[in-house]
Amino acid sequence: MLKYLFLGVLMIFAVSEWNVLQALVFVGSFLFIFSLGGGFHFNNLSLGLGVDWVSYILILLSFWIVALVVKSSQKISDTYNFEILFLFTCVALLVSLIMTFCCTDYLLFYICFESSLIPTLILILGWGYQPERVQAGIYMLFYTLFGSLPLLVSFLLMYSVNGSLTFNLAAACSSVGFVSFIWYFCTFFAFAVKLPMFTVHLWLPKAHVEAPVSGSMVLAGVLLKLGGYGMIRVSSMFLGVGREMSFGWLSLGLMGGSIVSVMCLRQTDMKALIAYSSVAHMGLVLCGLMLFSLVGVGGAVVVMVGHGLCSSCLFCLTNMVYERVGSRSMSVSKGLLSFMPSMSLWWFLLSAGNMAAPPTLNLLGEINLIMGVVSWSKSCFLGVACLSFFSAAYTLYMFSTSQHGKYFSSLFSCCSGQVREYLVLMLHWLPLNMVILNQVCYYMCS
Amino acid sequence: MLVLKPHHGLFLITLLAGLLIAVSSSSWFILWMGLELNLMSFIPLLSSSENRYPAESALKYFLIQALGSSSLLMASTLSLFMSKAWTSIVLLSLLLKTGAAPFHFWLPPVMQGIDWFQCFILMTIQKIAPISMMSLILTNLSSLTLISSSILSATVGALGGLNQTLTRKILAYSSINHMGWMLAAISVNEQMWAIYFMAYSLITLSVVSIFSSKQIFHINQVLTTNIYPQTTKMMLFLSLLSLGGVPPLLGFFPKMMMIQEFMSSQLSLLWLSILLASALLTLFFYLRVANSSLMLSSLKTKYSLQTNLSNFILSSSLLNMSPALYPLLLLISY
Repeated sequence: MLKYLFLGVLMIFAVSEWNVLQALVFVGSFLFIFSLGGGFHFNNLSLGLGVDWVSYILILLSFWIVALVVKSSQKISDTYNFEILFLFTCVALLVSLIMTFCCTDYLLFYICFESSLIPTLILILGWGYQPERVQAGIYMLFYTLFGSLPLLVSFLLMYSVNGSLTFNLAAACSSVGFVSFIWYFCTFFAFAVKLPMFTVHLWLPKAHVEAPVSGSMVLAGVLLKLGGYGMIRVSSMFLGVGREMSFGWLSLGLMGGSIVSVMCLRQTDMKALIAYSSVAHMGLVLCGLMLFSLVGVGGAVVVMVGHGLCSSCLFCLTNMVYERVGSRSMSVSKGLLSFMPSMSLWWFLLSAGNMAAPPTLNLLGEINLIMGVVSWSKSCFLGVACLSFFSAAYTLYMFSTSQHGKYFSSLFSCCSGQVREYLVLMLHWLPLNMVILNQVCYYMCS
Repeated sequence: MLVLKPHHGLFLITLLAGLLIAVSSSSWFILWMGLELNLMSFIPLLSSSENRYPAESALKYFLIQALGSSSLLMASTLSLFMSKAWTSIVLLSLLLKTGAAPFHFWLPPVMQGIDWFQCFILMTIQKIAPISMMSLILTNLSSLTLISSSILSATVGALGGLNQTLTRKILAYSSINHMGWMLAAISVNEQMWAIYFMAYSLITLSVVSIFSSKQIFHINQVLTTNIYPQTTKMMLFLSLLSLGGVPPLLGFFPKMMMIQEFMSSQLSLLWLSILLASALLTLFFYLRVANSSLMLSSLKTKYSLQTNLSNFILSSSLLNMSPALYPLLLLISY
C-alpha cells in the first residue's frame, strides 16, 4: 500500500501544474484498480497498512472523485483563484483519505479520519461563495470533533483493556451491560455524526450549500463514506451490545430517512435538496450496517459507492447550472431544457441513478439493503416503502422543476455545455452503471 | 519586530540561571532564591522606555510574584512546625506564580501590556520552575488541590477566552487552559509533563512568531493587515488548529498521550471529560482568529503587499506538521 501512498504524497511536487496533477490522479486511480489481490482478507500488507475489499473500493472511489474534483473545478484555474493552494489542498485530502482507508490500526484510523477535516475546512472557507461559509465550516468542524472525542477515549480505553488496537486482533467486548453500552455509544456516535444519521445531520446541508463544487463533491463522494467505513470496522468489536441495540439504529435510520425524504420535497435550493437526499440514502446505509449480516453490509458498501458517484455528479451538474445562471434556487434555474438540451439528458440519467433505477449500482445495493432490513423484521416494510417512494418522488421533483417549466427570462445566453463538462459527467456515470457488470459485486452481496 | 537590546542578553542569561538554580535546588530556600533571581531578571526584560504599558505590566507582575515568593518562603519555614499543611501553602503559592486557575486573574492584564517576545517567555519559560517544583510535593492532600485547580484552569481558560477580541488575551486564556492539562500531566508523571510542555511551547512559538512579525494585537488585524503570502495564512491557520489539538497536527499528540495516561492509570473520567470539553471550547475561539485568515480573497492595501517575512517564521510553523514525519520513525524501527 505504501506505493500508492507515496504516489499521493509525491503529487505535491506537481501542484503548480494543473493539467499534470489532474493526469497524475487519473493515472493513480488507473494503477490502483489492479491492486485487489484476494477476496475478503487483507492484502498488500506492509508497515501497518493494507486493503481488504471494503477499503479497496473506497480508496478507488476517493482517487476517482478527487480526479473528477480537479477536473470539474477548472474555473479555479481559469480565474487564477489561488489554484496552487487548491491543488495542494486536494492532494492533502487525497492522501489523508488513502491513509484512512488503508490503515489497519484503530488509533491511526482515528487520526487520519480526523485529518481529512482540515483540508475540507480549507476548501469550504477558502473557495466558498457566501460569508455564511464560516458558520458552515464551524458547524462541520464542531459537530465532527464533538462526536469524535469520545471515540478517541473509547479507542484508548480499548487499548488499555486489550493491549492491542490492530483490526481483528483487538479482542471484542462481548459483555452486555450499562458500561459496555456507554462504550458502544461513544464509539458509534462519531461515525453516526459523520455518516450523517438523522438528528445529527444538520451540519451537512449547511456545509454543502456553502461549499464550492469541489468541497461538495468530495464531501458527498467520499467523506460521508468514512462514517460507514468506520462502522464496518468497529462493529466487530461490539457484537453483544450491537445486537441488543440494532433496533434503535434501524428505526432511527428508516424513520429519519423517510422524514428527510419528505423534507427534500420542500427544498428550493438544489444543493440543499441533494444534500438532504444524501442523508436519506445514508439512513438506509446505516440500517444495512447495523444488521450484522453479509447482505446488509454488502448492500451498504454498494450503496455507498453508488451514492458517492451519483450525488457527486449531481453536485457537479448543479454547479454547471450555477456557473451559468448564477443561482441555485429552483425558482430561478428552471426550464433548463431550453438552455441546455444535451445537459438535460445527463440530468435525467443521474436522476434515474439517484432513484436507484436499473442498471445503476444504487439499485443493486438498495435491493440488498431492502432484503436485509425486511428479513430482519417484517415491520420495517412501512419505513422501507416510504423511503423508496419518497426518494423517487423528490428526485422526480428535482428533475422536473429544474428541467421543465418556463425559463427565467433574465438569462440572455449561455453555453450549453463544454466537452470538459460532458467528460466529467460521463466519467461519473460510466462506473455507476458499468460496475454492476462486474461479478465481484454479486460476490460481495451474496 | 523582535529587537533585542544589549541588556536583554544579560537579563536573559540571569533569567535562565535563576530557572536552573530553582529546578536543581535541594532545599526550599535555594528554590526561593532561584525564583527570585528569575523574577528580578524578568522585570527589566518587560519594561521599555517607549511607552508606559509595559511598566504597568511589570509592576503588576512584580507584585503578584512577590506575594507568591513570600508565601513560598513562609511555607518553607513553616515546614519545620506543621508537617502537613505547609505543602498546600507551597502548592498554592506555586499555582499563583504560574497563573493557574483560582489565581489566574493577573495573567491576561499583564500579557496585554507587553510585547510578543516577552509574552512568549511569560507563557513558556516562566512556567518551568514552578510546575516542576509542584511535581515534587504531591501528597494526597495537595493532589486534591491540584485536581481542582486543573479543572478550574481548564474551564476558566476555555470560557474566559470566548469573549476576547485581543490576540494577546486570547493566548493568555489559552495558556491558562493548557495549564489545566499540564497540572493533570504532573499528577500522572513528570515525563508526560515535559512532553506536553515542549509541544505547547513549540506551538506557541509558531503562533507568536507570526503574530509578532506582523504586530497583530487584535483579531481584526488578522483580516486587515493582510498576512500577505498565502503560505503564512495557512501556517497561522494550522498553528492555531494545532494549539487547539486537531488531530494530525502536533498539538493533538500530547493530548492523546494524556488521554492514554488517564486510561492506564485509571484517573477520573469526569476530570478527563472536562478537560476535553474545554479543549473544544478553546478550539472555537482559536478558529475565530483563524477564520479571518482563511478567507483567501480579502481586501489588500498596497503597502501590505510588500513582505519582509523571514524564513525563521515559516520554519517555526512547520513544526506543527512534524507528525507527518512520525511514519519515518516507524520505518527506522522496522
